[in-house]
Amino acid sequence: MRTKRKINWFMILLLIPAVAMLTVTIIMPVFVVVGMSFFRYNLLDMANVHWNNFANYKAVFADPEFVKTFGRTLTYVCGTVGAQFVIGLGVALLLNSKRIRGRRIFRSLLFLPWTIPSLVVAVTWMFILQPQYGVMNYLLGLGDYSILGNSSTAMLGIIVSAVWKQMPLMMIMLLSGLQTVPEDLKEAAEIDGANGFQKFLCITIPCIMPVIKTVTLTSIVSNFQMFVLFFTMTGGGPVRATTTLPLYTYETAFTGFDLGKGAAMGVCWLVFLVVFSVIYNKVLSAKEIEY
Amino acid sequence: MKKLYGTLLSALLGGTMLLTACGGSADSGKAADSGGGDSEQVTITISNWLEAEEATEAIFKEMLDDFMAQNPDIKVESQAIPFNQYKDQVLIAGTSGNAADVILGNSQMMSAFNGAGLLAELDTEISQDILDDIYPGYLEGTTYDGKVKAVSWAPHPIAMYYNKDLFEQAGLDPETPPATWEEMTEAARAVAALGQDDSGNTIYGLGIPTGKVAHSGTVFNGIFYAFGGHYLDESGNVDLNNAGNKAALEWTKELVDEKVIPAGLEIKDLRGLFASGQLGIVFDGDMGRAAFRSSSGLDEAFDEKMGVAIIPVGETGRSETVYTEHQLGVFAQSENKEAAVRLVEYLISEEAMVKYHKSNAVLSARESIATLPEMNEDTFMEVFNKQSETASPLPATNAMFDNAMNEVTKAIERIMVNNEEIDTVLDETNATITEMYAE
Repeated sequence: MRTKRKINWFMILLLIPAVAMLTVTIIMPVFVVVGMSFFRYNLLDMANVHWNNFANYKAVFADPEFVKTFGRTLTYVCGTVGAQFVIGLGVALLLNSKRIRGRRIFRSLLFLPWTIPSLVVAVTWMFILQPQYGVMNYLLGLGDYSILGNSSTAMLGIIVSAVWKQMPLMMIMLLSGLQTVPEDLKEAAEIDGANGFQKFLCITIPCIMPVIKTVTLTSIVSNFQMFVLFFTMTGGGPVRATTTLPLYTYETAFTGFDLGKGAAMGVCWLVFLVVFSVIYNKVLSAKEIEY
Repeated sequence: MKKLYGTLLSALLGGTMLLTACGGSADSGKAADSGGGDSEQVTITISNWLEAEEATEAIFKEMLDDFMAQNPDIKVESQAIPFNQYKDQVLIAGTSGNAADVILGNSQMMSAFNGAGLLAELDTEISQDILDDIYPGYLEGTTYDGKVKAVSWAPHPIAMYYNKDLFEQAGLDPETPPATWEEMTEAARAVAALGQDDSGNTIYGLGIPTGKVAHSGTVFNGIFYAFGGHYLDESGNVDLNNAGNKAALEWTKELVDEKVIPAGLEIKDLRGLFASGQLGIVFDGDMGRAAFRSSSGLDEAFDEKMGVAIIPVGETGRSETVYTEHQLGVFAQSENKEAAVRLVEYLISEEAMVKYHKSNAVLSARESIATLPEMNEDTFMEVFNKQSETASPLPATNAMFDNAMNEVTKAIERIMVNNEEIDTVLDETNATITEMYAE
């Protein structure tokens, strides 16, 4: 038998500001972009906005540059997240070791790059990688070879700068995970004859899997949206070697005035990230253990 | 309960949408108003980025104040928009009927504003004496399909800067700049032959932007012109693969391969190299001097190291170059066109230009003003005013010009950095731009 529950008007009243704020800042823009993606929406001809029978989506999928751009974005995301995970985990393990003195100082120093705004990071790395007077060319003896000016190395230059900025956050999160791994599990494994690598693989990693899942997913999503480093350091060049999805979407929508196609790209990108996040969560959740 | 929450949420969504819609259609207050009780006064607006920038904020306000003092029947409100967002903001406002009465823009922006139908025809609005006074090259740059849609305000023709110290070290006469393209090429080679400076930095002979941003492709039109090439043919169609353009690219590639020209750099990079004494010659506008002074850390003392001359004479027998510029247009849907035109006429007048020149060393597009002694107070200004006489407008006939120049930059990068074949690159780029323009 259903019981009639009393409506808590006070609770609803308290929720209204938060719901209104979320609606205006998140829900509405998403709906507006999804809506725009189904219309002919040209910035030079705003008086002629009309439904265009999925022409924006057809144009996106028929555009070979979109596919290439998607590939470049995946290269950047995999390179950046992979490198910062490996380096971040290595540094976190070092800082978690009780044998290292002054761990707090190292932790604070290593965290510094993350506090620097992306724009400043971009400009700093442009100076470091500058072919004529940059310190990197001097250290590597590259002469006046332009790392950012060459199609084969420009992406690598950006990945290095992104890893430099983002690794500290990954490191701190993983370190906080490492500090929660129960010592008694490790001791039990030791008694059973497990070596250091086996303990790391079979105890440490599964124990910190929830942290790994969260930080890598956050990093993947935020790097998919990376705009500042590309826009500032290379502008997508040379010869489109560093044109990723955010840059190409911006170019299509604002330089090319085609807001409809730009919105369609944004929607494709949104759908991909949602599907990927769901699968990624499911796969990694299966590897978690309870202790 | 679920139904109630659903209804509440829908009501909220509907309400906010309605509010947003109302907000979007609200009049920005640009129409004529009572001006605080004075029924004769009209209020006009001017969209610009000058008030959003430190270097121009004060002088811009001063010019508007002067105009209002002389025209008490007109009140001017400035709409300051940061440069990076300017084009998009004006297009969005304009296409929804809310642009400012007077619109500032540069050549690339104005072609887009014209493409969107934002600009009023000014042939009969602006005084004929003023139009006749504007250098033909500058007037051509604001004329679309035979109609004057804007007027040139602060043109920046591109001229040649050279480093006197490096010239001397290379055995060249620092007081005699190269006058022909051949002389300049040899001078650049001689400077590059110096190899490295005392700190081990490479010294280059010549700086021409060949990468990264649309600006590089835009100013490369001047190099095309110097070799008798063109971007548009006589019918106005994109025609990149012509003998002059090929010759220009072959010459550039040759010097890039010889390490006389640094490859894939934009003007900001080149300014840094020139200011630090690593570049013999660089092509840049009059605004380059301030950048060199600031980057070198020497301020005005840098002027002693720097020579300036008009672009050497090339294949066409004249000093070929292009100019970028600030232009002023009037919104096609403005309800106060007469007042807007008066403001435009004032801003390009002798009084305003001399004041603006004293403050920011800008040039005037009007011959009667450009030749005034107070606009030619030193050799630097004389050279740039002289360069104005032969500077050609950018071929910005299509709203997609900026995008097209991005493609030209990519073409130059493919040739200079990726070593791709010139003919193939030009053909492919031509096809891309033609398709872009057709869309």
